[in-house]
Amino acid sequence: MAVCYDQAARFNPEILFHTGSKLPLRLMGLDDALLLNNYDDLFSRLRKTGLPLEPAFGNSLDCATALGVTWLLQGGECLCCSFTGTGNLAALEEVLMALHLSGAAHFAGLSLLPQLSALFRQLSGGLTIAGTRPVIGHLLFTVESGIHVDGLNKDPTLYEPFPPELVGARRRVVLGAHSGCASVRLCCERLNLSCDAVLAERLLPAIRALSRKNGRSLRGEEFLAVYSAVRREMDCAPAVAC
Amino acid sequence: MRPLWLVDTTLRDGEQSPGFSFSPEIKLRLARLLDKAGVCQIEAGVPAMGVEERDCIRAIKQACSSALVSTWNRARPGDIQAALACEADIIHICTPVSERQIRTKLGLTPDQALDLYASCAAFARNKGPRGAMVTAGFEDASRAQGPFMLRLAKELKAQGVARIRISDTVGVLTPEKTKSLVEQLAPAGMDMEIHTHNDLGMAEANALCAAMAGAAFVDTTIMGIGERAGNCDMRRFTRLAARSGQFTLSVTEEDASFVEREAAPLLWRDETLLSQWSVV
Repeated sequence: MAVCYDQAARFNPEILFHTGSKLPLRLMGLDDALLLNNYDDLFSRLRKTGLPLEPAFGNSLDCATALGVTWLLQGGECLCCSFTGTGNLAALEEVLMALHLSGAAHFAGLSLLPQLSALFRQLSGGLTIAGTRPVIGHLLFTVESGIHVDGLNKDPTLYEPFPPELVGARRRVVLGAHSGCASVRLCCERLNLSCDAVLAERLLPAIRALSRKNGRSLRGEEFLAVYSAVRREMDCAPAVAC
Repeated sequence: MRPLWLVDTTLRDGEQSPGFSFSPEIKLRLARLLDKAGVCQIEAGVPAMGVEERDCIRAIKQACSSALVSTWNRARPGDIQAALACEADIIHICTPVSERQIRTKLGLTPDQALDLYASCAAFARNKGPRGAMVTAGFEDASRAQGPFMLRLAKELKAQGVARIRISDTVGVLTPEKTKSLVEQLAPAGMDMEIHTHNDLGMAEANALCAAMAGAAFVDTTIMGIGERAGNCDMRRFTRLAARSGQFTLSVTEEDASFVEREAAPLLWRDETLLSQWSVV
């Protein structure tokens, strides 16, 4: 059963008592501008009705997830949301992850999100999901900056809100203008190329320069070409007797 | 209505995200757009990256007529020395505040970190150009202990630091936690700046909640570009802040939309390339 109340942000929740419903009541028309007003008061009055309420916050100001999560963390039991937030609602995957990270709930099936994304693309006739889409984007765990790669080597939790495995993703490191020596050495190690600290220091400016010139990260073959060129230079450099 | 100031970090945190690599010319074009739009502060880059970066920051400083130009620096004397050479208006020092950042990344105890940050701030204040401001970035504040942050804020204030940036480095804040964080740091009596990430789809909502709780500065990027799911999106945020009716902003929603339209062709990145090749 769904009960629609237009402009629900301005209505008196006590009126819901008259429905006498024991089934979930979906509250439509809740503008997410509510975040800018006294949402605490409305949430409190909604909870006091004791009815099984299911708010459907709109997302015209990109605040539906924030409101929905706040509602649930304050004791709300149901929320109307949708995968990727389609239909101008709170995004299901964002709400689930926020609850999971807050410790308010545990969801064992988050690693199935890539399959859900694939199904979504198929059923929606090929709608694409942005690579940076929170929780489900395919680029979320791709890292380039030296400070972050160094941090990941020490402890992945330093720069990750949750591990990639939790959402069925994997970590990726690319080389570019912001790479540091840690990335270069890691790259060489994975490609079975010898690389000491001196070579890494020599490779880094060449990698950064090529990235700046092309305005993007390096391709695998570009890195190999840079590596060969720098090695040749070093091999040809005359030895200095001290 | 309270004034709310935008600090744009497209050229630093935005560009740091994988796949972006702005030439000095593009950085200058973006800086001019941001300056014209009325952004209060432009975080122009990381001086420790090298000579080219420092030259670019100096050029941006020359090109901006009203926006203050800041540099981002680790809490290392060498980094701050590099920043001094840029002659920027603001020297920003990143000061990680969570136990995991301090112990694992820096290999220090919280007390040692506090001493390091205080000495770096004092160094920047004493050696910096006359009138230059020093600000501190509380990295990973959303996973840090309130009492330590408050103690650090007071110490930094004593060293002449003008403002603290509250960074939700991994994007795990919610509106209520954001408000609580700002309220915990308010007793330090310093200007506060909020830096949010969009990992849970709440970057703009959290930034607005911080502003409503007392933060006077909000970090944004054009089109929300940034690490992982990105940063607080300038256009979306200006729309939200305007709708609240509580703030006066030097950047209107129309200004932010104009910047976005003009900058969009410069902010393209090859996502296919990023998906094809990886070191690990």
